[in-house]
Amino acid sequence: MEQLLLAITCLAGMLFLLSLGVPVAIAMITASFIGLTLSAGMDFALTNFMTLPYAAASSFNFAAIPTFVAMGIIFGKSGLAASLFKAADIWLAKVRGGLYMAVVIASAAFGAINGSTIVGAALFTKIALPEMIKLGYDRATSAGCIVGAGTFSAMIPPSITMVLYGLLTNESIGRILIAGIIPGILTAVVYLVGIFVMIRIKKHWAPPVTRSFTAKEKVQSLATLVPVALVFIIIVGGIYAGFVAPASAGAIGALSALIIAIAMRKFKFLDFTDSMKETAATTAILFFIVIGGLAFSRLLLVTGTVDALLDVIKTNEIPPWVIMTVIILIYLVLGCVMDSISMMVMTVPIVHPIVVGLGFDPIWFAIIMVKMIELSVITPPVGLNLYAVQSSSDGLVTTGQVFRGVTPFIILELIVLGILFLVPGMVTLLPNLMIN
Amino acid sequence: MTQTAPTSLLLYRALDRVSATMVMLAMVVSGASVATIIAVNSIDTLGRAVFNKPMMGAVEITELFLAMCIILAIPYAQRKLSHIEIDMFTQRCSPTLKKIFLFIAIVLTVLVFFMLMVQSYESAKASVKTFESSAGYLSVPVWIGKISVTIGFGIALLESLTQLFALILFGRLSTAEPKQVAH
Repeated sequence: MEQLLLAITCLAGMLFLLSLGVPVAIAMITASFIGLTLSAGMDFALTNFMTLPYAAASSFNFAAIPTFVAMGIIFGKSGLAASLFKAADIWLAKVRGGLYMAVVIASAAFGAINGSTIVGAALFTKIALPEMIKLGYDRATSAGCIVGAGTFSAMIPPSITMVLYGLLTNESIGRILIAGIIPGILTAVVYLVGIFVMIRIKKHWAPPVTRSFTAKEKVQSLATLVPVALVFIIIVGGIYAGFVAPASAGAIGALSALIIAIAMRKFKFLDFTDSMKETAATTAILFFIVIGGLAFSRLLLVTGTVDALLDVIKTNEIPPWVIMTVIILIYLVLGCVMDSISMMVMTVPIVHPIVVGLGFDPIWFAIIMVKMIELSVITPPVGLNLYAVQSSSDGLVTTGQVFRGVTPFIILELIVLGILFLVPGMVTLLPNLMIN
Repeated sequence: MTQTAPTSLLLYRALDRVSATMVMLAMVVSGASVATIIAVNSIDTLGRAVFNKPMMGAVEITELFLAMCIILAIPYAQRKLSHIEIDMFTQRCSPTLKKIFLFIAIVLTVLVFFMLMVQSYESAKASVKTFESSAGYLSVPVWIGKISVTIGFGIALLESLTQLFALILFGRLSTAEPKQVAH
């Protein structure tokens, strides 16, 4: 019990440091170091930090992060996202609210070649928002739609969030990535249906249909889908069939992105060096938090916190579904005040073993977790995507409008979360069919 | 800034210049490491798929460059102040309180980087002594990776010390730029 108290005190100390604005990784390492020192002695704590950074940084599985990040950044600079949006717009021009749907479809397609939610949200703000406002679409809802659709990149493989989850929990990254396909498609479908219904109720959100395109234009627009489909098949197909590890799939994806970007003639050498620099910086930021998370996991292990918590749950005979509901509610609240990656790294070491210990499928829970991460990046006041859209809009929308506009899409996300909670088979079907 | 003692200002500028140069050099190696990881894994995967001939030691090479890519970019993230933090509460504080919190954050950052540098140095020292290399198909020098970790944390320490210096002298972090983090 003394050890449990120590772990809880360290957790409280870490939260206190976070509230002072101390970087997440620094707060986690500080709390873990103090906790390990008090629990097992200074030598033990120091030895841990002697081996931890290199051991974690040189894990082959982690190579999926820089390669997925590079792929997203290069595709972002290639102009492919704009072509995807244009293609979706051409096909949906005859539907009222078609541009909302175009954003959803283009974001889902872009999510298949990009693993970063912020890259997607910021890109589509630049590409779609001015067009939507020009055609008379509701500013707030347009921004909200882009914020929500930006999260598809977290669910549709390749996803950086999923890779991080796999690394933190030692679950198969390949299985987690494949498990995201059906929930990703489901989310896009729920968005499309939701938009269709909302536009019927709130007609002023979208102008009447005035534009039309020829059949030739429609067919020509499909050419954009070829590179996206190719890259998606290579990455997801390769992982699904077991031909490639996620890290190698990411490398092939990044190489393909580079070739496509050069072929589209929108990519210069300076863009390449910028992409590599941006990739390294993003990876380092994520990784530094992961070091903190791994250190904190060791503290929990040394103090036996997770076992103690499981004992408490089992002794009091609390039904597993109650625990799961409480966990989801806690994440929904945390997501409103905390950055998504930090939230995941801080809580996964505690929550994952408890959930698995209660008999839930770890892959299913990984997807539920990613869905909650998606929610956390779109829930005010801390959701990162909200600010990514607002800051990329060049003053076209205010923060208040973004907050207001995203509300219907938060409801849609909650609907998807409910479906995944009630029908776990939607998540576990594909990973269970995977070739070993 | 004009009221600051010239010696300390000169010292700060020199420190900042050294730190900036080292951060950029580390970043060049880090970026090159990313490109290497992509190249090695692409060659390995394509070689395996097309010619049934994977690249020998691809995993070991990737692991080495991965460590270099990650740790050597940490100083850059520190210089740009892009490490993720939660500023929801501090945003509502008075400027004085904000400065105090910033001071605490930077001091803690200095201490953590110092601890990580010293500990990784111990690990690197032992590794260099034995010319530690990987035990895979290809004997990749692991000691280079371990030295890189020490260098990375060392430069990050220098950068955070420069920031602490700036905070004490000018009351602000002169290298502060807008944050940009991708997830």
